[in-house]
Amino acid sequence: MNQEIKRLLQNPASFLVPGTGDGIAISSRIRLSRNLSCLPYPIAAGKESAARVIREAEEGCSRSKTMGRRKGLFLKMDDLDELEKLLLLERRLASNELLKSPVPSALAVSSDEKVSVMINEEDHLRLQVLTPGFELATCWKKVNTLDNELGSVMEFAWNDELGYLTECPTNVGTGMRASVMLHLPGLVMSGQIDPTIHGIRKLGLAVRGICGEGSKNTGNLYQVSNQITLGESEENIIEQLSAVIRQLIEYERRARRALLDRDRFALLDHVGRAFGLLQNSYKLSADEAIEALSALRTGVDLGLFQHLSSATVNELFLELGAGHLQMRAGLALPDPEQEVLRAKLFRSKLRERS
Amino acid sequence: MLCDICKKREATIHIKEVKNGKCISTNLCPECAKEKELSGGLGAFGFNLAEVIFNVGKMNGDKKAPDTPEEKNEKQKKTPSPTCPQCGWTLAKMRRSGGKLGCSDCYKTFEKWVTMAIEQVQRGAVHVGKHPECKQRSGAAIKMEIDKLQLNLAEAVSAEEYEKAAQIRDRINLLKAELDSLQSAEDNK
Ligand SMILES: [Zn+2]
Ligand SMILES: [Zn+2]
Repeated sequence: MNQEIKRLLQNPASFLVPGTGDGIAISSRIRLSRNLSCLPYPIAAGKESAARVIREAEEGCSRSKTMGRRKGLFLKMDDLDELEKLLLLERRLASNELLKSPVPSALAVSSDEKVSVMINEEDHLRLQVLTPGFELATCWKKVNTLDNELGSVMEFAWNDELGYLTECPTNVGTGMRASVMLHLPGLVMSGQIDPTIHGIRKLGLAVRGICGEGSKNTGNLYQVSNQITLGESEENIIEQLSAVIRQLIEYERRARRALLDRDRFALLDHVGRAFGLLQNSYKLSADEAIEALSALRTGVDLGLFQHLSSATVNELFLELGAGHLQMRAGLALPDPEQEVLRAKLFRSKLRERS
Repeated sequence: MLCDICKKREATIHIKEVKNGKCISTNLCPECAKEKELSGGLGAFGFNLAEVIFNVGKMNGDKKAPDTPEEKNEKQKKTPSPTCPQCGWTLAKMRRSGGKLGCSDCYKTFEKWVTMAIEQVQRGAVHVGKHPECKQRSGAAIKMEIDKLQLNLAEAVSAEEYEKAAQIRDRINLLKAELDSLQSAEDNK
């Protein structure tokens, strides 16, 4: 097993360290798409030109202060096994596209895990900054600095009219995708989520369920992001997105208050049963755990638990993933055994706290 | 390939999404896709961009009768499908990949299609955000910022925010000077 990756397991994922705010906004992320000029994009690249992109990116990252210079990780995807890849996915350092890239791909991670660069994903480089809470301004500042650092040692594909050129015209211009992950159980339970999502989409923003779409979404987690990348400045895009996020957080607060006012015991019962399930199960599927954990998170936000913090909820959210479970166990396990292991994790973590 | 929902009509829209860390592809016919979108199951970008681009004529209400086979052949002869000289990318590859390009030169090679795609999915046609420190901004981008600032200036004046208005006016003057020097540099070329 790759020792560098194992090191990641010693720390909570940077984006899940409790952030500011009231727990509704879980994390913020900004991604910038950048390509090296004169080289074909990964979709049209041969092995040689892909390898050149990796070399240049490694060199650039090793000189970047934001990436922690040589203290960060630099991982080539071909060197990793399936479990290690899954771990990177669950920590939101790598995307599926990166792991499945048809050409050699790589990932650079800063020493504090807050900043990463995916190499040969859809574009040559995807610079990303992840923070806990609703912190898009912090993300932008950091990713902008990283962009300047890398841009001073490599030449990015650029066009005077269209700005930064990207593999897909949906990203051209700023190449920026800003997103916030929100926990919206109040809107879901009160049946307001569908019209809300519809309304956000009408504003030209994208919404997707983190764990499945529509009614099949488990865990009440949603990601809201910008769609437009051309014709508006980065600051404007971030401000427009932020205005909607602030509004959404307010709607969620109101929905929770209304649920408490209407039937306090129904909500308490919902949270209490979820706690009981997680504390006493001997087999837990990921979906079941994610769903119950959402109720637990709601309970923590409402101050129903004395000995349970959002830090523990976040830790469990990460650790329940198949990648984390199996990496900790040190071997690949079939689903039923993962379920047993997952239940054991929850029993031990939550018994400490009852 | 048949549509995943009705299992009757041919699927022409292919959507990839990530669920629980797994990449799932859905194949839909236009009818079912439309229904799914109306029920809020799809974002505008859930659609294959290639579909959007290549159906653009239809979407604009192009009611012209379809070409006869002879006319079609004639057209294809006149305008051979372009291939990117830099990376070898073709329209067929662009379509198959959902509207993706092969290299930065493809933006020129497939300008017509790229422009259509950008009109469909973006808010403007000119980049107004950050630019690399070593690169100068285009005249069009500067003009656009000036236009925006002039609107802001008018707003500030009518709201009697004179301090803000003065700041905006200074910024406009700065941009106009930048534009002038850019244009005289071009004239000297
Ligand atoms: Zn169908
Ligand atoms: Zn090309």
